[in-house]
Amino acid sequence: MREYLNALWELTKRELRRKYARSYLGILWSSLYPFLRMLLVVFLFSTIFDKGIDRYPAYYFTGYLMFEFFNVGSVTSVTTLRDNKDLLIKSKLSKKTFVMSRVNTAFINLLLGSIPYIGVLIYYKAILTPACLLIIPDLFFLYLFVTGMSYILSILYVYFKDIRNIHVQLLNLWRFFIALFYHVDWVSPGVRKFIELNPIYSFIKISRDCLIYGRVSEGRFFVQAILYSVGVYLLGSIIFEAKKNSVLLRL
Amino acid sequence: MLDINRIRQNMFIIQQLARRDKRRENASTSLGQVWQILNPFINMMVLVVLFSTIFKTDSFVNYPLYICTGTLIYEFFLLGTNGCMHSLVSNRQFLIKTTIDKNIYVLVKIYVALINLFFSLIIYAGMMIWFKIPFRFINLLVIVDVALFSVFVLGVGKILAVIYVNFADIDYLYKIITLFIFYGTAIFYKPERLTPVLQVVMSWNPIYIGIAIARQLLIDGIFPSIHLWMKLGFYAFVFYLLGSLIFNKMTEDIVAKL
Repeated sequence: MREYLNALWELTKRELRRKYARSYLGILWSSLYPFLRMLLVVFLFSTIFDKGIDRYPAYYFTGYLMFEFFNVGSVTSVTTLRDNKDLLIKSKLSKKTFVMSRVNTAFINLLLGSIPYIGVLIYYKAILTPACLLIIPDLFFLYLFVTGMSYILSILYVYFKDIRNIHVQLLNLWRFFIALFYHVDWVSPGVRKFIELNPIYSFIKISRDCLIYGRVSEGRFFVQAILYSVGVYLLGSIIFEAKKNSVLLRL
Repeated sequence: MLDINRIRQNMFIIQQLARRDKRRENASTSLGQVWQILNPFINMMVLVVLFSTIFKTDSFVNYPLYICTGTLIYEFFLLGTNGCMHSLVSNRQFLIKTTIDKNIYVLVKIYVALINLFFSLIIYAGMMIWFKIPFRFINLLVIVDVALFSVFVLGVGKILAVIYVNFADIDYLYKIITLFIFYGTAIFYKPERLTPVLQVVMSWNPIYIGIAIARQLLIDGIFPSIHLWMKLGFYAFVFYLLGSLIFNKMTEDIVAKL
């Protein structure tokens, strides 16, 4: 077990190092970039959208960090089996490790981005109540969801390379239906229903409610979050286990 | 030696390197080449659907075409400048082992971006038919618009390429800058919605100028004011000169730095 965790950590470190190989600030960018981006979006949208959204910078930042984790985690995982073809064949490492190292890298970036995020929460006097502890299960289920998705995508990619383009385009569209920079109240009821059924939206809503507004979201969002994440994770694991050996032949 | 001569002499290499880029992207996908037209199409549709349904703020006549002209030019700028920025570092092996003129690497990225623009224009033409916009001879002047704009993008690309070799962090900063440009250029809204001060600023935004000229030529079918052409020409000239100077000076000892 320890060997497994060790290998996972080494792979993750390699990914992180590769990402920041040539920059001066290096890993500092994981904290700085989300912060700068938030500043920019808030600056741009404060004139249009600020009306009615309490603590808008924190509102946006929450959604951005969580969607980026899903975005980067899933997109980098798509190609991971092919990218690590040699290691896969030569080593005895569990294949799941390769997917998880990509997801972990994205998760670490989420955590690093949370550093300025906490600063923003403090600055805007977020309402602190015990409800904020809900972020831990929220992140856990989000992690499960992203991992499950990544398992499915990485297997599909070995058989069907177009999946990468399809997934990227899907995310392109997806990002606009999670009320990232606007409020659900502002869209038509039909669109609103669609957004609220969106898995990523549930995670974001729960985190916004518990961290910024100090309240607990309606039960249905928790039910959705758990169902989606457990469902996708189980599906992903089953597909991965079933296909992981035949995948070797394909590579 | 001007880039025009370079292009003429090295067209074959440019095409080969561009083909290598394209192959890397869509290697052995079943749809393969179709993605070249599918990607721009989906990108355009996403924005059009978004701004026509969710954000029904600015629905004026031919709004989708208005948006698409903007995204066409903006995407070209984005792809061209980002490509150029990474061109020297990503061709590290070639730079070390061959004596190909360094400007070629940058030109290849512009070429790739132009091809992408070309495919997007095909979709755009389809949209013009859909919206019953008649094709006019004046539309052809968009070639001049794109040509001038390409020179501008080449200049910016050269500067970025040099910076990136020494300072990889520019990648992150540039992401923020281009995001700012995206929202700050009247792609999905009319500049009249802004304050008078901001409208003046907008009128000096080179990307906006490129878009405005294209809109007037393609959608309205009128000849854009000479001031617009002059401003675009000015930006193309200045950035090309600046970019080439910096590029030629700073890449002399590039192999050592890579």
